[in-house]
Amino acid sequence: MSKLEARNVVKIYEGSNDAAVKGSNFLVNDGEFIAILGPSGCGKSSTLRMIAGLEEITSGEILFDDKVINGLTPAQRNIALAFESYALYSPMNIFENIAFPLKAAGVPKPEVKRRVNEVAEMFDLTALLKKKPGELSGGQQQRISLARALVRRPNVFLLDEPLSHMDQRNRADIRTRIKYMHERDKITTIYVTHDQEEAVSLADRVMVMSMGEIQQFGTVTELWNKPSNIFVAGFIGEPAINFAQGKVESDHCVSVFDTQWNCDISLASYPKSHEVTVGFRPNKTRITNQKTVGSVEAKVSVVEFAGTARQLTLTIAGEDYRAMVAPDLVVKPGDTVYLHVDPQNVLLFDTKTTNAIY
Amino acid sequence: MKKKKFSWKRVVFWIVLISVVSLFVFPIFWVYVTAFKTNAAIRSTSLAFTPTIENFVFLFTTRNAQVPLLNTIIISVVSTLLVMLISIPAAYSFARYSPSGNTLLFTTISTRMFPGVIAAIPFFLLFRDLNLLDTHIGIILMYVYFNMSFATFLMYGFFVDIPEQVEYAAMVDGYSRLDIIRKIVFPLAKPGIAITTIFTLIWSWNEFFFAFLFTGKVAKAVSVELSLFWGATQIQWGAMAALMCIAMLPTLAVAIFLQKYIVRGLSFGAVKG
Repeated sequence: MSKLEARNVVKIYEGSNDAAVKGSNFLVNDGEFIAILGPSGCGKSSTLRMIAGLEEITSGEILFDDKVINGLTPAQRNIALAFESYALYSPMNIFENIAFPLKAAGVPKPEVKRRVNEVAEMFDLTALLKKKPGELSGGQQQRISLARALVRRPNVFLLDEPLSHMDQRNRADIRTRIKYMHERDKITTIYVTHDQEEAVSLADRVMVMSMGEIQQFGTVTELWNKPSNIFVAGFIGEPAINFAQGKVESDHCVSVFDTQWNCDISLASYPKSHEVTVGFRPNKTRITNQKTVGSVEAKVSVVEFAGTARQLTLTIAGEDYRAMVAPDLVVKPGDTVYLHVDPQNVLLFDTKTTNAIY
Repeated sequence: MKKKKFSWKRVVFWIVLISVVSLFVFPIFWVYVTAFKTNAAIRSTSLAFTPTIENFVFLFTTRNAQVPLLNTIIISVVSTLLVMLISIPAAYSFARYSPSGNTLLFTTISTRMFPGVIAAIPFFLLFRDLNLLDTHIGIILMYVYFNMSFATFLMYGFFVDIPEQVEYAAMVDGYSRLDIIRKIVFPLAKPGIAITTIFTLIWSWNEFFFAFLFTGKVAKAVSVELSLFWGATQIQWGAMAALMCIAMLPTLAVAIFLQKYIVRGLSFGAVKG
């Protein structure tokens, strides 16, 4: 169990001009569960592999418990790694697979047996110990991969998209096990994923990455309520946030869709007509049949059922926007409705810099 | 058991199957039958004959056929060992680090794309100057040259198919690169290594052209010896067939016992996962 810190970590791959990771700085507390979230090619896997020691660090430092570990081999770092493709040793049976890291560490045989059996029981693998990986399903294989990773009691547990290859039911099962293991052992865990649902449901804090840069690192509530820029706002939240172009009207007031919207954000330092991007979440809208002050006229183009709510696709000035409404609202495609966003639910971003305005 | 219904389709299927198989198997059958016939029986039109081993006795007493047989064993085994010793690490390296974007691998395999006869004259002159003509080491080097690129190329495919993440996992688990190759990569690549070894071995065993050109007396291979029964005045059918059936044994053994392995090895890439 370790505290993990990155200082100005840069990764430039051989033969590439662009940095895959552009100077990352972050701190993961001892026993914390964090997720690195981002689209493919954002640098999240490179970051993980540098922490694991599978990839050389171009510049900067990674520290475990305030000790620089740049020069250590993956084994010396005492980390555990679970892969998207399970990466099991197919010629060996399940017992040998799980025992493999212990054997490498020279753990005595009876102890190996005891620990493998213990971890096998935890992951419901006891009945499978004599089988070969090829005979098992994806869900079972990933359980073995997790068991193998955790049998060693690592300082840091790294997971590289471990659920990507799995069907919905197995995903839920493995997710619960990962969460349970973390609650029990409190091993510092870093979970890389492109699926925000996984990140949000598992992690204490989420690091959002894009184009090799950390966009924001915070709790789910922070990412949701105070996204640091347009990318984070657009990446977090399902259905995705709506964006519209607007202009600063006065302090606490922007003009958008030819109407004026009040907001809780002070705009005193911005000149009038400064271009802003207005963000509002689909589930933070109010839809009415009557026009009110500040509401925007919209045409309903699609009505979809989404569990306990209904999702409307609204057309305003030729652009589509989403809104979630209660199932009892009587509305059908072609209707004219009025969209209203309360001041506390209006998010503003500087259109030029894409950064949030608070 | 259920009685199968008669159908013309099945009849045609079996007729075609039997004729194709006979076409392939008949020469082998002929060789094995002829080897156990006397000269008189070979020339006779009657199908019935009394088996004899006089051809084999002649081979190993008068003709000293054990010498070319031993030569072929030495040449093919040593050359195959050398090829594997070079090609396994080469193929693994090509699969894991390819700084040249594999143009180097292609250049290597391209040495197998021209007809062997093109290389024959320059090699002959070179070998003559190096005093390598009619030596075991000379023909072994020749075979290493020809098989190395092919073996590397074939095994490259097997190594590429082994997911790199498995090696990462082992690295994290505390194994050195060499340990990983020994404990993880090698067992996974075994079918590929086996099939490549067999191909290389059989190729060297059967090779005639270079053996004929580059060896004469000392390092004469069994494939060359076989051609020498065809004299100016007579053809020693019986002795030739007897040596043939010995020379064919390794190939036949491979074909029969390793059938499944070969099919699996060749389709290794297609059926993974």
